[in-house]
Formats: sequence, C-alpha cells, structure tokens
Amino acid sequence: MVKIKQVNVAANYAWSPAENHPVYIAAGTAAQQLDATFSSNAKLELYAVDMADESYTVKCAGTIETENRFQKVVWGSNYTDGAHTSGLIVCGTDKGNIEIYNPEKILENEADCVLTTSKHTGPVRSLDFNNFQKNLFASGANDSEIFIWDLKNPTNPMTPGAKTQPTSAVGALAWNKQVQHILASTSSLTSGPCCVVWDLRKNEPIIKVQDPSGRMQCSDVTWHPDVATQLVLSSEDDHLPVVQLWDLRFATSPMKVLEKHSKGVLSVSWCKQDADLLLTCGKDNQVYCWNPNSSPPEILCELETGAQWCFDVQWCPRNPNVVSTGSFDGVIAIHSIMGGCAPVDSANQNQAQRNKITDAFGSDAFAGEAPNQQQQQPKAKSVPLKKPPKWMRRPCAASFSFGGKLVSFGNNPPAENQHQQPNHRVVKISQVVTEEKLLERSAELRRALADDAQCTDYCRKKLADAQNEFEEDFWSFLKVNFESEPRKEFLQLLGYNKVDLKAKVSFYLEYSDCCCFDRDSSQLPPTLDGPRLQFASPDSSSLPLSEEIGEVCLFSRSETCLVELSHSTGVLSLLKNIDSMISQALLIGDYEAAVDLCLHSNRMADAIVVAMAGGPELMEKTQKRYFEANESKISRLLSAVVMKNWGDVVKSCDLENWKEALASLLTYASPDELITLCDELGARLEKHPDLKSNACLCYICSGNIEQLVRSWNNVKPENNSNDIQDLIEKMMVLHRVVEQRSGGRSAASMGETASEKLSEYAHMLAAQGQLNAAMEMLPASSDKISIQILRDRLFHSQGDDVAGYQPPVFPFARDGVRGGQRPEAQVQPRRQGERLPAATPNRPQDVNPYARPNQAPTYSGKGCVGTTPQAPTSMFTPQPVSMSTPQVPGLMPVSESTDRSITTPEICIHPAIHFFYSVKYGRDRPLMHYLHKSIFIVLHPSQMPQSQAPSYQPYMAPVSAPQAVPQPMGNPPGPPSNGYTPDAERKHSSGGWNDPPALDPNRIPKKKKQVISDNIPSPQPIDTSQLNMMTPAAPAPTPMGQMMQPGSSPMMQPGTSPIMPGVYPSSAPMQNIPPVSLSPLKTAFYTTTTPAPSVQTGALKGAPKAPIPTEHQILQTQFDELIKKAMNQNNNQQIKRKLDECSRRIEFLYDKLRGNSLSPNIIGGLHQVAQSVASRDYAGGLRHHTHIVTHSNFSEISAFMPGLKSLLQIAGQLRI
Amino acid sequence: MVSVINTIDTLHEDMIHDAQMDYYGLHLATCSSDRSIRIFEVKNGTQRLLSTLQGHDGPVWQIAWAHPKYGKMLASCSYDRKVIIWKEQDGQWIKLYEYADHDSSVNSVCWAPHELGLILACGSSDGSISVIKHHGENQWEATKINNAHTGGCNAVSWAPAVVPGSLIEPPSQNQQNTFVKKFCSAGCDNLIKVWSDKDGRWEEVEKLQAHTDWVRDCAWAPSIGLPCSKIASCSQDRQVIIWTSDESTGGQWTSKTLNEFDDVVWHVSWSLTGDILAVSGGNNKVSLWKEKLNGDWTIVSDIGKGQPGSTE
Repeated sequence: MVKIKQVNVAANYAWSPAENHPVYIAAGTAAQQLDATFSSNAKLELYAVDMADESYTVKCAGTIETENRFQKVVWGSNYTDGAHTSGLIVCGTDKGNIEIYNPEKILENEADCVLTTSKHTGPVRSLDFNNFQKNLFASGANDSEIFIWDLKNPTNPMTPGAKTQPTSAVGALAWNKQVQHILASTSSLTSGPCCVVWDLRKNEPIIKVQDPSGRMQCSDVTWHPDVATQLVLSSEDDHLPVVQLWDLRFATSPMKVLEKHSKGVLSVSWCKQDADLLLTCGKDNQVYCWNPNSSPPEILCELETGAQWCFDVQWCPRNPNVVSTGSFDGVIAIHSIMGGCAPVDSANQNQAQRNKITDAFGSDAFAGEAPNQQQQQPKAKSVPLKKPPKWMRRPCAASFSFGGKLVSFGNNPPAENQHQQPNHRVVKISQVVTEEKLLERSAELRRALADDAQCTDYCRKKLADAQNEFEEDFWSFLKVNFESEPRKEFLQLLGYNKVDLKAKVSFYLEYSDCCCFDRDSSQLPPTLDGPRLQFASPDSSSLPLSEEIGEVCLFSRSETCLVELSHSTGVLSLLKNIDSMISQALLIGDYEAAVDLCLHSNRMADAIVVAMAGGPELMEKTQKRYFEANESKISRLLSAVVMKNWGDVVKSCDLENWKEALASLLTYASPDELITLCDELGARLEKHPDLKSNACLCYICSGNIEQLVRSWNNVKPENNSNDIQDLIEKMMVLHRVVEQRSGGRSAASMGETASEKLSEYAHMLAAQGQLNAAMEMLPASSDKISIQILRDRLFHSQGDDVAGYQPPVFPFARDGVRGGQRPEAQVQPRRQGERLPAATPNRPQDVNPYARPNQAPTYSGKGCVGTTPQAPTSMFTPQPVSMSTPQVPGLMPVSESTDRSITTPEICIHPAIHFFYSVKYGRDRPLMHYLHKSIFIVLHPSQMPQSQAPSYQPYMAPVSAPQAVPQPMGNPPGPPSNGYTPDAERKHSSGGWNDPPALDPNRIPKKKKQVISDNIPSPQPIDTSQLNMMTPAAPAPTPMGQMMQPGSSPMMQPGTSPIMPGVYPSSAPMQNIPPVSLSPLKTAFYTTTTPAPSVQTGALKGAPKAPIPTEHQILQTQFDELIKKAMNQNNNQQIKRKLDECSRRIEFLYDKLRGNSLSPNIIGGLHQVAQSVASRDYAGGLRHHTHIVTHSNFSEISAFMPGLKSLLQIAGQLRI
Repeated sequence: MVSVINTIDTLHEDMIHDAQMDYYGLHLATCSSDRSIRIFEVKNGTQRLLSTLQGHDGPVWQIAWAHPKYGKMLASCSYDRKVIIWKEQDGQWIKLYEYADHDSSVNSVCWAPHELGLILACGSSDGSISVIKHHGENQWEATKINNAHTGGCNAVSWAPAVVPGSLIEPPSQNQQNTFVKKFCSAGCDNLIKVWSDKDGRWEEVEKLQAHTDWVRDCAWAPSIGLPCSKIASCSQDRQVIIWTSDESTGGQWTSKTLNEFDDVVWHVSWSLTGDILAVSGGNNKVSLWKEKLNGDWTIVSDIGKGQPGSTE
C-alpha cells in the first residue's frame, strides 16, 4: 500500500458514490477536533480525487461555510425518481441536526442546505445509506436513538423498534448488504449487547450480539459484502484491540477474531468488490488489510499512517485500488493498495501546517489554493497485497487467433466458480463464422472450377440469378467462353445472330473487295447489282441492311452517309470530257494517270478498277487516296476493314457504339490483336462515365483478368464480402477460361490487382476458418510477400500435411535468439530519456538486429586475409586476424552439423572495400565485428558503391554452411548510406524469406546437367547497358576480385569442398594461383559471372540437388525444352557451343530457384519470359529480359541472364 | 455462428487469466493464478500438454507469443512484478530472460510487430510502461515510461507496423524506415494513451478520454484493408469504445461507443482481418461485433450462457 495523495483537513469525510464520476471526497470539519489554529469555523468541502492527475495534492473543488461541525458525513447516490443526479451528502452534526446538501451546489460554492432536521438530541455520530433503497438512510445518536429516514418524505422518520436498554450512544450503523430490511447498530456500552441487529419489517431487534468476554466496546460494524449473515465488529478497547467476525447463524461466539492491532480498533471497512479484503485501523496508527475469510485470517498488507490515531478507514467505492484513512493529525490520506512507487511527502506536511494557519486567519486569498508542487523526493517502494484483489483477476477473455478461431475461457457463471467446478480451468477453442453466405458461395465456386461442365452450369445458374442487366451481360459473356466458338457467341451476345452475322461478314468482305461505292449506282457493273444496289438506294428500308448501316457506323449512329454520297450527282456533265482523257491514259498504259484522273473526277469505282489492273501497289495507293479524299465518318470503318487497321477503330470509335466496335474486333481481329484491342477498347470505356461498366465485357473477351479487376473496382467499389465474392467468381471463371484458351498449359498468371484481390479473398476465407479453400484461392504464381506469408500460415495452420501442397518456404528471415549459453543476460534498465551508453554500437536497423549469416557482409582488413567460416548460429567472439597468417587455426567452423572436411577458404578484399565498410558502418563499430558470420564476400572494386542503382548488392555465401542453414537473402545490412544504393537494400528487405527449400523425399531430384568442375565458363559478351552500373571511376582492378553468388549456397552439401576462384581450400594455397590480370571492364564481368559456376561445380559433386519449387518448374520446363528444340534444329557447331553455354548458365538460374534466392520481381520477369517462350514470341521474351536486366540487381542475375538472352536470340534466329 | 471445436481441460489449479494461440494456431498457451503457464499442442480437435512453465511467484496475468521468425517464444507477466521471456530451445522451454524492474504487478505484455524487431511492451500497476528490446545474443535493453497511467496500466497494444491504408502489401522498399512504431495503453486513470517512438524516446502523442472508469483493455486493430487506425477499448464503466483516426483527415481521434454492457468489460480482441471485435464481459459473456456500413456496430453473435445480474 502506498500513499498517493493527501488532503490536509481535520474532517469527517465520505467518498462520492460508485456511480459518480469524477470522484470526490466530501469533507466536513470534524466536530471533535481542534486544529493548531483553534479555529471554530465549520466548512463542508469537496475534493476532486483525480487519479489522472499525477500530483500528490488534491484540489478543493467547492467549499461552503456551515453553521455546525460534523460528527459523520455520508454520501448517498441518487435514488429512484430523485432529482439529485450526483446524490446527496448527509451530515450528522454535533448539535443533533442532520443536514443534507446537494454536492452540485457545493461545487458552485452555494451554501444551500437541502434539508435540516433536528430530531436527534445528541451529536449524530452514525449514518448509513440503505444499499437497495437509496432514498433510505439510518441515523444514530445518543440515548440509543435510531431513525430511519426517507429522503422522499424526510419529515417523518421511523424507528427500527424500541430502544435498547440500557441506552447508550449509537456508535455505528450498518445496513445489510444482501437483505435490505436488516440494520445493525453498535453500542458503546461494554455491558449488554455490543451490537443489535434490527429487522425493519418486524420493527424489532432480531438478534443481539454480545461478546462472551463482556469487555467489547464496539467502535464500528460492517456487514460481509456477499454473505448476508456475517458481520464484523471492532473493539476500541485497548485491552481488547480485536476485530471479530460473527456469523449470526452461530451468534454465541465470534467465528473468527482478527488480532494484530496493539491498541483499540476504531474503524473497519469491508471491500465491496472483494470480500477477501477487510481494512482495519486504530489507535496504534496502523492500518491492516486482512483476508478475513482465510483460516487463520491473514494480513495481506499493512501500513503505518503517522503519528496520530487513525480514526477512519474507507475503501473508495468507485476505485477499489484506492483506500483512504483519516487521522487525528488533520490528514485524509489516499493510498493505493497496488503498491508501487509514490512520492514521499515531507514538503507537503509543512505545507499542511501552513494551510492550517492561513485557514485560521480566514484569508480568502489562500483558500482553495492547492499546493501544486511536484514531488521530487526519492520514491519509496511499497509492497502490494500478498494476493491480488479480485478485480485484478481477469475471469474471462476471448481472443481471436488465426483462421477465425476464438480462444475463450471463463464462460461459466461466477457462482459456479465458488463451488470449484472444474469448469474454471477449461479453455474452449471455437470456430467463428460470420460470413456464411460467403462460404456457401465460395464452395459453389470452387466446385464449379473443378471442371468445365460444372463451370458452364455455374455460369448458367449465375446468369439465371442475375439481378441486373450488368450481371446478366457479365455472366453471359463468361458463359460463352465455354462454348465451342466463343467469338461467334460473343457477337451474338452483342446483338448479332448467327445468320445475320454471316450476311454481315459477307457484306463486309464484299464491300472491302469493291472498296468503294459509286456516286451513281447505274455505273456499277450489272453483276454487282443486287444487295449493293439496295444498300445504296435511299429507300431500301425494307431490308435489314438499313439497320446494319446504323450498326456498322461505328462513328456515329445518326450517320446516313452512304445514302447521301450516292446522291451527290452534281458534276455528271463534266465527266464526259474526262472520259476521253482516261481512255487515253489507259491506252498508253499509264494506269497511274488514269487512276489520278478517275480520282480527280471522283469516279472511285473506275479508279479502283483501273488500279486493279495496275497491280497491288497501285491498288493500295489508290485505296489510301480514296480514304484520304473521303473524309466521311464511315470511311474510317471502311479503312479499318480494308486496311485491317482495327487499332484506329478502337481508338477513335464513338463509345456509344462500343458494341459494334467490339463486334467488329471479334469478327476481324487476329487472336493476338484481339487481346490488345479489346483491352484498349476497355480502357477507353473505363474512362466514360456512363459506359465504364461495359469495359469489363471487353476484358472478358480479351481474357485480361487484371484489367477486369481494376475496372470492376472502378465500377463497383466493394462494401462487403458479397461484393468481393461477386468479383472473385467472375475472376476465377475468367481465369479458368484463359487457362482453357491457352490449352491448360500454363496457368494464367494473375496481375497485381488481381493477386491482391485474391489475397484479400483468401484472407476472408481464412478468417472464416476455410483454410484449405483460402489456400486454393491464393494465386500460385504470385511472389508477393504478403501472399507468401499467407500461404505459409495457411499451410502450417493445417498441421503441416496439406495434401497437394509443397511446404512453402518460411517467408521471414529467421532471427534466432538463444539463451543458456551464457549467464542470464543483464539488463540495464534505462529510464525514459536516457541515451544508450556510447559503447553500445548503434544498430543500423531495428529489424533483425541479431544477424544471420548474411546480415553483415564479412570483410577483413587490408590486403589478403584469410579467415575461417563459422556456423551462422554460433556465438562470435571478435578476434583479430593476422594479416600475415592466411589461416587462423583458432577459428574453426563451429557448426551445428559440423563438417570437419570443410576447408578454409581465403578471401581477398580490395582496400577500397575496406574503406567502403569503414564509411558505411561508421567509426564506432569495430571492424572485426563483421567477421563473425560464416560469410565470405569478395567484392570487386567495380562494384563499389559509387555506382548507381541497381548495381550493388553485397553478396555473401556461407561457404561452410551445411544444407540446413544457408540464408542467401537476408535483411538489410544497414541503412543506405554513402552511395550504397537503396535499391539494393530494398531487394534485400522485401525478399526476406531465407530458408532453404524444404526437401521432399517424394520428389525426384532434378536431372541435372553435369558440369565438369574444372570447366570454368568463359566470359560471355554482355550488354553495355548492364555495364552501366560499373562506374568508370572504379578503382584499379584487383587481381583476385571475385564474388560468390548466394543462390549457390543451398546446394552446398556437407562433405563437399566449395571451390572457387580466389577462395581456395587450404590444400591449395592461394599463393600458387597466379593473379589474373584483366582490364577493368573484363574484370567486372568476370567477377559477376564466373564465380558462381565454380562454387556450384564444387558443390555438385556430392549430392543431388534440391527440387525447384513447384511454382517455378514451368521455367525449367520451358527453357529446357527450348534448348532441346534449338539443339535439334541446329547444325551449326558455333551455335551448338553457344547453346551448351546457355544451358550451363541457365542451370544457375535453376539453382537460384531452388535456393529461393531470387527477388520476386526477377522471378516475375522470368515467368513472363517463359510465357513468351511458350507462345514463341522470342522478341517479347527479349523485351522482358531487358526489363529484368534494367530493373534488377545486376549481380543477382548476371550468372544466368546472358545465357537466357543468347538462348532467346538463337531461338529467334532459328525460328523454332 | 460459433461452434466449439476444442474443449481443453487445462488442469490449472486456479483461475485462468489468459489463453493465447500461437501464430499458426497450433499451440495454445494458458496462464493462471496457480502461477504456471501451460503449453498445449492443439490439432484436429485434440490437444496434448507439451509443457508447464514454472517461474513466476504470483498469478500470471498475460502471455504473448512472439512472431515465429524468432522461434517459439513466449512472454509472460505476473502479479509478482516480473516479466519472463520463455523460449523453446532444443525441445525444452527455458527462461530466456527475466525482467524485474517494475514496482507492482505487471498486467500486460505485448510484442511489437515483427517488422520492428523483437520488442516487448509491458504495462504495470505501478503506472509505468516498459519497452524491452532485444539487441542480439540475449541482450535486452529496457526503456521505461514512468507515470504513464496514474493508478496503474492495465493493457498495452501495438499499432500495426504497416501504415494504415496500404492494404495488404507490407511496405517494401524505401518505406522500410517508415514503419509505424506506436502502441496504445489503457489505465486506471480512465485514459487510453498513444505512445510513439521519437528517436528512441517514447512520447505520449495522444490522450483518449471518454471512459469514466478504469480502462481494462485496449486493442489496436490490424490494419488490413482499413483506411484508418482503430483502437477498441473496454472499461469498468461497462462501455466498449471504438477510437478511430484517419490520417487523411488530420489524424484526429474520434470515439464511438460500441455498446454499453450490463457488466464490466474485461477484454477486447480483434479478428485478424480487423472486421470483428470479440468483447468479453464480466458476466462471462462473449459477444462478437461487426461494423455496419453506416459506422454503427452490430452484434453478430452472442456466446456463453452468462447469468444476467450475476454480479451485483
């Protein structure tokens, strides 16, 4: 218990009722006391006990002067139908009055007494409010006078029964806490009963408690908060300083006696919130907190109050952590039973003294001025209760966990708890499902996706259920994808039935054959009469063709251009002369001139006929000129039809006629074009305020899921699970369609927005406990970290054995903390504001401060220094490494699966690198700090940080690391600084899954192309663009600059010796290897491309490779197949060598895939390349290739990208 | 719809105060007034006691699992004023670290989002909050916020590290350094406070005032898909309040009372998607709440057969 606040006032007081907020103490000047100033004033004051206020003092919130001093103050809460929301303060005065005040008035310093009665004759020492009927209170005075007052009718108090004889002053009154009509009163007499219990219904005492010793002088009484028959009496007799617990069912002797006080006990207070807490205080200045229910009663806490008797102790009704004591030195102290720290207050005591004196002089200037000084004293620690109070013991809680599971306990009524039912120790795990509809629909969707027949039915059903036209369109469009000829079906949906369609197609074709129509139909050759004649005639409305005109007029519905054109016949007479000229031209074989003439005279048909004779070139030219000359709107359609220029249609058509545009695309566009054109049309529609919803239909036709999702988002921002389900259904069906279109060979990859949606959806399903369904919905190809995280969580939540799934890689960088290897860590508690001791190195990153091997690049001092790898998890003791000693025998690998055969590689680092790290990590970090991981990094100066993004990424490969530990990609080694490009950092952090691929014994190890270990690949020419990053300012080449590739590490098998140029087993001292001298550029190339193979070849000898993750196997299939095809197709030896080289390089890619060491964007790019390969679009593949190269960290991909590039080039050349 | 899938007799000898599932939902940790922590494996409707952790000298109030990237790690806090970090190592649970710098009961422990590192916040009845941070090799450093809540701190809860509104994708790339490093705390001063890391110091950035009695618990909602920050708080005053702050509109916190219950509310817990709030009341009732489109909260499920008026 610790004192937290103090009011310096000699007063009888009461806490505000539990209902009231904020909490006040009402303090009325004590009648039986005089303070040091001998003041005889009387006041009633309210003090605001603000727990949020950190200061020690309590602010006086209102004061009124009163006529009388007070013997007892109680504060009742507002009773039913009462008008006093803050309740009423009832005071017993020393003159026998009962005065009732409204606390709200006191706060306004208004001295209005609500009521004053003077029924009692002597000082009113005891008051108590009824717990059930808040309008009732009891009062007691001398001569055993007890009245029961009703605030609703305060004029006529009643008595509980006949006065007990002999009469004595009523020291205390207490209403039973369980039975509302039971009241206990105490008598100060030692003779006779010390406590009488009244039954107000019977209007008589029902039991008289008499202490067997007969010496009990009862000072206070209080009822058990929960048990109706138990009460506690305190004895103020110094010879019997006890507290007795009585059970009235056995009222011959007390049930328990609480003995600890050394002098008379003056006050008791039983905690309403926890019956195991009883406070007592007395003339020995001690306050004890008991558990009266334990046997024997146990003291939970004690407190010494000061130099004076403590005459009163109370629990704060509202905040049971707080108790108050009143003592005769004029202090009301407020304590926290929670212990802890509180200011020790000596200054305040002095302040209290001063206050008393200022009070004595009645100086208003000081009144109410609360001393507001902060306590600067050292804090005293105090012990909390031995056992936590009930209100600290959380009885129940329900917490969510992954998969919509709710873990709960305590779901049983507390009453049962008391009987120790085993229920109190039961924890329940429940599945929460709030979106039943969603699950239903999701299940339906998944069933539908199982096969085509289901899918068609599903679409049909969806179509039938469609609520609006939009939905209907949507589902009909999706549905026809499963028909045999979706394009035709699409057209039909757009309003063209099959028969009409045929007519139209022929019309278009014919039309384009002729390419123009004449101003005068009579000039047409008779064979061409018929439909066209009708078409051109202005009153041919009887035929559907006139409708068609409207339909084909993409550029405006109102267009009737054809008709108009055919009637512009104003220049007929003029033509006669021209005829002869044309004839002449034709006669001399000058077709071009003839055409010119024809065109000039607007005789288009003639021009065309002549042009046909003049050959295709002239024909084309003529067509072009025709369109140039005829700026009518339809000409663009014609132009499109003839020139096959659908891009123009899509770009310029009137969006009102999007249906027609789409129809023409479906009719004419080639499969490849169709996709782009539909997308383009969709993109235009999206921008149209009224038509944007139709964009989705275009995307269905093109099969562009990504755009569909985007457009959908645009049209229907989702509000609930139903909306997203709506979208997912469409997405997934379309996805299936696309899959089907591509022959099911490659799963259509989801774009970013689509993946996001699916991931969101999967989250929703997971939240409903549908872990498996969620797993199915996750886009398999996506490499988004959020999706990987979810997949990992879903997989393992299902208990590590989910049928049909590979265990996913752990998507986080593990950060092991181990204890037990050293004595328990000491913590230096640091107070807010203190800085870290300077000796502690400032960690550059909060994330993963506990580095895994790749955390910090290992490097050593100047020149060539040899060191020994250590197992990543082992503790590191920085040790100076002698420059002259290539091997440090003391630093042997300490690996969990130690492989003693691992030899000591040596590294060589250019001084510039050393410089770089010194700059990067600052002076305060010991250089050798970074040597402690089993990483070897050999950097070449050309990769120095001066270069621009995306160039530099420190690479490291745990040389000695066995299969279980390698973590090629780690957390950022530090914040970007000093030219260290953020890009490289980024890649590090975003691709944080570092685990080795899980080995599945069921999987056949990949057939690998054996690479001969001594076959160090020869350099390949590489793009200059890739070399851009190698700054020309790079320092001079180092002889041994080499670098290892992280991706190779997973293949490292115990028992194999990694060999690489520049890093040699100890058996081959490096001195024996002559340095290779290269030009800067070439060196750069070597460093970035060559080492990995050699590492790998060393590693490959022993053991089979790990499998490539399923989702990436497609890459291998595609590329290997392509190489094979190229091999078969090719006879040229040189190309064959190239292909061999490609094959070897691409092998590095597979290794990286196995090691999961490629960042998501690279993998994404590679999938795109593979897709291009699948569709034999090698140019496209090269574009993707370039994209990867320009957007990735060069060193990450340099081992295999050149190979991939030449493969694509060769494939392009060979046209395979 | 709430259906019980596991009923676990923990065999604790006294009241249970907390029960938490690990990241994958495979392990259950419980703690009790019997001073022990128990760890169960929960699988397919069955459970198996794996370990009983003894080490506290008083009732254990709360437990919290660390992110799995740190291994199997558990923090516990107790009335004995101690915080213990436990770790499973080589199949054995060991006491990794003990923190005993509080002067009173430690009522709440909460791990920071894993992106921020291995950091634990602890709220104590002594009114202070400790933030304990791992510095590698089992070296821990504590920062203490004194006088965080007068009368005691009852709960701490970290804000998601990911900026609200950034949907599902965690910030990659250059947002590395813009991870949110904030937590909220609830106390006996009836307040919820929001603390933010400013260059290694914890600053009180917000004081949320609406409860009229002890705030028993506070929970920062997961940010997935939410455009704003949300905190749920519950109190002795029987109210559950949802606090919302939208950065786009100035970040001002506004309060909305979810409901006034008929008893003290002890605990609030967000579903992982942040759309459902589980409210546990003193009448031993658990109710699930969901926000409607208009921003009102509606009850979706009522669990438990608590007896009305079972207390007072």
